[in-house]
Amino acid sequence: MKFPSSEFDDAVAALCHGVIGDDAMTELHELLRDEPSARDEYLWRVEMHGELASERLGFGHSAAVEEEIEKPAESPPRRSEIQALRLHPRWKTAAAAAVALFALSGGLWMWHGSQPSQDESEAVARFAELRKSRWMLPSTQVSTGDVILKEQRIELSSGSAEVEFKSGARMTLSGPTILEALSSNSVFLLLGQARLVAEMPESKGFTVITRNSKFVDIGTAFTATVAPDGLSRLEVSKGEVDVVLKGIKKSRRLKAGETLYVEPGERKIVTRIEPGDGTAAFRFPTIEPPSHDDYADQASGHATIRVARGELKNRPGASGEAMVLLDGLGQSRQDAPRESAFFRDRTEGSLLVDLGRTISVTRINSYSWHQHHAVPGHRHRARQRFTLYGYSGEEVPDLTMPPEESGWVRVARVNTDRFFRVNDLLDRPSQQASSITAARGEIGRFRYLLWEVKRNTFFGEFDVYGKSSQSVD
Amino acid sequence: MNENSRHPVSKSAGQQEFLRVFLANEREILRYVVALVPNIGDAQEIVQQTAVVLWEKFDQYDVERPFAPWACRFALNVTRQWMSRQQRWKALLDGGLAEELAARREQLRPEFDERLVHLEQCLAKLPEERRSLVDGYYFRQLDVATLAERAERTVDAIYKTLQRVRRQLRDCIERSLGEELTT
Repeated sequence: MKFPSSEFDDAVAALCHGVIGDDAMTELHELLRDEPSARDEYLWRVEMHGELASERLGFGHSAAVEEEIEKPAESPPRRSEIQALRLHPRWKTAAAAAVALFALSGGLWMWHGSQPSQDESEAVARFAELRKSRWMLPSTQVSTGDVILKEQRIELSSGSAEVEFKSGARMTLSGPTILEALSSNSVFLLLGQARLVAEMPESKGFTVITRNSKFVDIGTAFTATVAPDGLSRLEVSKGEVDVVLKGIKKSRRLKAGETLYVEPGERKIVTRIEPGDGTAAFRFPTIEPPSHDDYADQASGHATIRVARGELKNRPGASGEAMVLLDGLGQSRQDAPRESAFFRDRTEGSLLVDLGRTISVTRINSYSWHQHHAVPGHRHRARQRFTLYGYSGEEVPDLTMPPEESGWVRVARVNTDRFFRVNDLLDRPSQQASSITAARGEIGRFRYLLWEVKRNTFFGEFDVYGKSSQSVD
Repeated sequence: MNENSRHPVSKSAGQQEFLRVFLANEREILRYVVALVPNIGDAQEIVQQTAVVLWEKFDQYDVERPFAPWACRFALNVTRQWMSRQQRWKALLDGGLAEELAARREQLRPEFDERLVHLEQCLAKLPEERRSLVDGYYFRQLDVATLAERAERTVDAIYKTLQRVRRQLRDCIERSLGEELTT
């Protein structure tokens, strides 16, 4: 490849679009290594490309929102124009002009307290109750009864705020939370926690949108949470909720008592956690019991497992070998150390599964069961707290380094105590299962899986479902 | 949320502060990553992974110093890890080309910033159809197949038009810089 040339132009453009071929990529990289002027031109082109792409970040989520939600019925005729101005200030000649226009249009960018001069026809909700509320902008003044306008952003630093929407839905925000009111029946939750109760007929279909998902109320109550790193959580306490994941047409419905986690990222990793029936049958509401039919089952001879870090407890009440986790069975009773694998008291460690070759992994289930035979509240070893990583290379990465610094891909995080809101030991189910899937297709192609375990849990079984790459290809 | 955070302050206060500085600098971090991995989807994925690392390391951040350079160091590491997992990107790691690009970008940034001042007015000068394409591709982040369907054109035609639009913008910026020098 020469510089300047049309090949160079095409290669840089294709790289920006993510459609460059392997040969062109190699040639471009060689050119960049050898030719300083090509390097400078390349950097300028991608700088402008990056500037265009990052522009929307200064204006929040709304580009995604426009794609995700239906236009609210009460939208004024020129909403799209207003939205366009608001989203894309570059179409304006100056930021100040844009700000002025936003204010005129009623699309306020930030919360600036009570807005008596605003047209209240744009109001979509009101602050119903404030409890020790503090706001991210210290100058913010908010009182009970203040209206919330369409597209207004609410940035609660601490405390809580109850918001009553025109549709009758009531939402409780717990700081820190950043949320934008999109209409009288929809919000965008950028960060934090919002608990919704939608009992009025008009509030049916209330929608909470996050960066990676959309939660649509079918029944009456749910809580949505978004962590700073994008992990979304939905807990349905009453009724039903449809979950729509970005880029995936088919929704899934969650019922009361169910919770779903959606990891940030392209693959939309979804984690489901359920309590078991507390018997050797390991029955769960939707997660299947431990199985011999998974790819990693020892009977198939594909996979091996070993302790990668830490030590399994050796006495007294010693742990079983790590291999018990691939035997297709959970424990036969509630306190069965030899049928479980667990680390020494008050230590943590990691368990490494080698699948023998890179396979397309579609589902990973982890099962645990423990309750002291004489002390009902002693269920410490039932909880599951781990981070699961995958790796596709042939050689296992350096296990002495933190996984995320040695090439492992983080797949999912599981914390069942948080899920079950364990305050009292008896809140913690003695038998638990977590099931990790992708919203569509495979979780990823991995040869190795690493459970970084934070507690000395009595794990009874790991089931890894998938297909070998050969059969997939 | 990471429960292993070593933040001495309360979790919610830590979250709040992290969020404030991260959101204020997210754009800068994305631009940094795009210089190395120009595909926006890939770059956003890397920024997302960087956010996780930054949150975990946030207690090590010295508030007296600017956040973006500190964050970009981690972004470079995450980018390198990402590249090491992509066979065809490994060449960029060989011989330190990724680091060279990152360092050179830092040297050129004042010049780039001067040029980008004119981007806004150049965008405004684009014909409506092309402006709409930029809007769909960059701001609304529609996939190219959707843009092609809407415009009743082929996917290749959309890619080509985007390439031409960027060239048009670069040319416009160069002209604007020239005018600036002569006035």
